Amino acid sequence: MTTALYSYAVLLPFAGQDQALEHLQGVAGRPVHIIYTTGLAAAVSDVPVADFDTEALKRHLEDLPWLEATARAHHRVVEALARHTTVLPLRLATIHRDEERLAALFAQKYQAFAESLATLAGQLEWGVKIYALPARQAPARTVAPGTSPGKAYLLQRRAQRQHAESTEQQALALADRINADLGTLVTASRQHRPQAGQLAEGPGVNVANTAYLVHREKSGAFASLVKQAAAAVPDVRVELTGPWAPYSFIGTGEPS
Amino acid sequence: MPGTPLHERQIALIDLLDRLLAGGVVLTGDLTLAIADVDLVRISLRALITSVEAHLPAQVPTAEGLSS
Repeated sequence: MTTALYSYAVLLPFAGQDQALEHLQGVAGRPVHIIYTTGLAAAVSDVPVADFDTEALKRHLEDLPWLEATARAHHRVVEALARHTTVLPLRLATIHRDEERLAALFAQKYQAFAESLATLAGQLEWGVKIYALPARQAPARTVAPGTSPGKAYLLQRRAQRQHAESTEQQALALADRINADLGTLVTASRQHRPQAGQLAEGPGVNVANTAYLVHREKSGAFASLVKQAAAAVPDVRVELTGPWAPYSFIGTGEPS
Repeated sequence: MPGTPLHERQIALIDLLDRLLAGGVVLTGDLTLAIADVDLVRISLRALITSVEAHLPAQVPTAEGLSS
């Protein structure tokens, strides 16, 4: 089998890393190992070129079951490492021809990687998604006697739409308030696109999808504040995800 | 399955894709072009995101009767 190198993350080497990776299944069901470059390490798997060259990737990335299996495997490796050390996750499907190529690139990026690892030490990523919930009950509207059924229907529709809009406004206002209240509890934040479509899980319309970088020691206070703020607003749902490895804060985190 | 962390929970795929397709270190450079041209990989990821969105309803209905 001709193989290429699939890389999951850059990390600071740590004691016991071989045991941490021993039974781990990486992408394509492959074992994971560590390669060392100047002072840093990378978690990698040997993967079949036939499945990971440009043409194969193009095809596979549009195949949702393949994408899901690969994304989950990538994440499984990143998470296993993040429990022990600071990691810089690499983007999905980072492929190189061989170790020499990767090592040369690492040598080039050493300074940036080392700085990012230092900045991200002790930091966790959390996701906060805010949803406007559908009206539990269509708002009642008095219709003047003599109104035609068609007009009554349109009035009713308009009232429903206004209600939904106001719920979305409330959800957005909550997102702003949470952001402001968090203040110095968070190191950085980043907006992801609100989630929509087939993969988005309801109920409700996602109006804000924010990633926060929070120090491990402040994470408890962070989660309490988010939950408290969420409980105060009706018709709005808040979902907290994490902790994540700092995927969203690789050179893009803005100080907040 | 050996190696599956005990506390691993099923994470929503969409949350994972937010991070894996829009986050993470992008390793670019002349040296990475041997097998999968990085730019091509990125283009196909963009195509994926677009195509996923393209065959989805433009907006999730907010309540029964609101979607038209």
